[in-house]
Amino acid sequence: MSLRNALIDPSELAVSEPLRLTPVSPAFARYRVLALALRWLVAGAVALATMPDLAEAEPGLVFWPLGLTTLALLHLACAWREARSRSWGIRHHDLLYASGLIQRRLTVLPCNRIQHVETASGPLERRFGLLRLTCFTAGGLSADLVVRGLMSHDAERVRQYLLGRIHELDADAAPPLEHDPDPAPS
Amino acid sequence: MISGTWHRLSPLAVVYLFLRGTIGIARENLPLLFGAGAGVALFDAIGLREVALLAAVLLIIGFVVALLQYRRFMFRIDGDLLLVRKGILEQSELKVRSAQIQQVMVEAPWHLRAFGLVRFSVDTPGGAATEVELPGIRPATAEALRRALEPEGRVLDPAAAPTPNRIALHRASGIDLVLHGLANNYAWVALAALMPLFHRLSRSHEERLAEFDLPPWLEVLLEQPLLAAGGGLAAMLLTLMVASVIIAVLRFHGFVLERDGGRNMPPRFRQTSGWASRREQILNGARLQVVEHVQTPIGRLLGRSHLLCRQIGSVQIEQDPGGQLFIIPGLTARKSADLLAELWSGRASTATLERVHLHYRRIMWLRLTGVAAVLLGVIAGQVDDWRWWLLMLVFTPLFAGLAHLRWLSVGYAMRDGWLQIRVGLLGRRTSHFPAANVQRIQLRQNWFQRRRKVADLILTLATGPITVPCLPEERAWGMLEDVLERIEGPVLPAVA
Repeated sequence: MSLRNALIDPSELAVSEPLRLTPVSPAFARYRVLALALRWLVAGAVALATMPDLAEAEPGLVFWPLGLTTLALLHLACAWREARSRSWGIRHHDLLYASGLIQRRLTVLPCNRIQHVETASGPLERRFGLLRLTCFTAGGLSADLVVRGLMSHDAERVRQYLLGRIHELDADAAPPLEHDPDPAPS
Repeated sequence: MISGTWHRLSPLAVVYLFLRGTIGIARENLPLLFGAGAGVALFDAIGLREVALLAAVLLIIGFVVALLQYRRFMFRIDGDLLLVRKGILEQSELKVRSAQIQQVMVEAPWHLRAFGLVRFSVDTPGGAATEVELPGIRPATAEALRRALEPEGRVLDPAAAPTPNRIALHRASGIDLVLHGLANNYAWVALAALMPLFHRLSRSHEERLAEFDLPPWLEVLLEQPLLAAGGGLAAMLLTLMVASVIIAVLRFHGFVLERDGGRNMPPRFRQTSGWASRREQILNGARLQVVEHVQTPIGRLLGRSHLLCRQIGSVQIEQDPGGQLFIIPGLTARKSADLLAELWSGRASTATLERVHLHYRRIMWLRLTGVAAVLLGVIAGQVDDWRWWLLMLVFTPLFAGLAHLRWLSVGYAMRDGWLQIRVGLLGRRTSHFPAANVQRIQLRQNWFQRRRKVADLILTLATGPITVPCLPEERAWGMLEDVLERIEGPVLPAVA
């Protein structure tokens, strides 16, 4: 058996480059803050409705609205900053998503592990033109990837690209079938 | 021939379906009925004869339901598909392609063995639970089904098919099973499952127990609380150990692990075990995701461990009451290494493990002392006694020791595309798997880790996530790229 061991041109060697990801849409930060603010408003309304009764029993409770408002503002500021720090990227073989403020997470999902792709959006997300992209794998919930903060057109383009890649990879991997009576598994 | 026509369960399966349904309803409702005293109230309110009549009517309904289940339950083999039709009000048809089957189980529990029947079930990647179950078929039918669902069974006439090579890999002796029972907590699991029933019964019988005359020796013992507590604890531990050994021996009695498969075929591993409930499990080697080598703290002292073979969607619980997990019990260190090599067809690497960064030890220590300080602070505030804080003088060095033990137990290795990741504290759990089986990778860094240039690497497989904590940043990136290359690059050569 002959051994092929040809010389490689050093200029052709791959150079390790830092990952340059694309920030998610700026609309996502506005959406996050608005969604959280609505939640805080509901919680605040419930608290205000019950506060007069509680304040009678415990006079110190009158300072709670101030504390809660500070906490809510701090939460909204952190959510804004965290949403602005999210980024994503797509390469030939995988999809990348970075998130988190104090705890940074970079998730890599190889295309050949994606079983199907789904896009979804709530009413508030649609108002901001956002779409959620969920990639499902064989690993169940713990291995799925949800990419949030993409504009509708970007999410649709990524979805189409990923579906195309899944199709290509399936065609490459599958051996020719002689007989396929019913493709539907259980 | 099993192919072509629809088959029914054995007629005797009606009795089994009836008993199973009745026992299931009784198990769900008896503690509620009798534990809370509602049963006694019911007897008093409507009379014993009426209750008996109601029970008879319910039994008749149960029998009719079992009969309908039997009549609607049909199965057949069509090419490489197993088709099952069932359902009384809502009929369903399940199709399972043989290529998707991860595990086949033929079980002969005592109540089915009395009728000369077995229970046949197959696991597919779709879910953690058994997807298709044929309760109550003849052993010959189960064998024909199993053969028909094997690759060679489809293309050849099963009668003319050559018997596959079968090599015995491991036989568990009585000593192995006793040591396995001692090393594992089977009795704890049984106890935890029975705890709600005990709780209800103890509540309903509390008053009666108070009136009960205690024997003199017990009264003497109760006058010395320390002795009573020590004796009680020792008796409980002894009972649990004996119960654990009995459960392990019953579950794995006569355990034999064999390897099936000819040339150019993925291997299949077959284990037969069980005393009251005889079980045969066949694991498709090509569907294997992770093999875990588990050493419990007592197991390490006794020099015994076990292997846990996980497939896609494999249940994450430790002791499976339904016997779904493929466990190889009572192994010595040498035997477990040999079996690991067999399970991965000699390709698994058993390299020396590298330790994670020393910062992991500090992080563990800080976490433990932080939680303890907060808890003691809360307690000290509640009881208004600052001396609770003095306990930190004991906890701080204790947690330093625990953090060191934890750091010592965590290790990892990646060689030739094979990963080993070990976690634990007093026990050890080492996962062995090919990097190509990873589904998703995540690199995680908190503020503290970014400053120290370390990162956690989380590898999610089809069985769940496995974390390598506190790797040096460059090493974490290197491993991430290596694993990606294995997933995205050329597929590993086919299993010989």
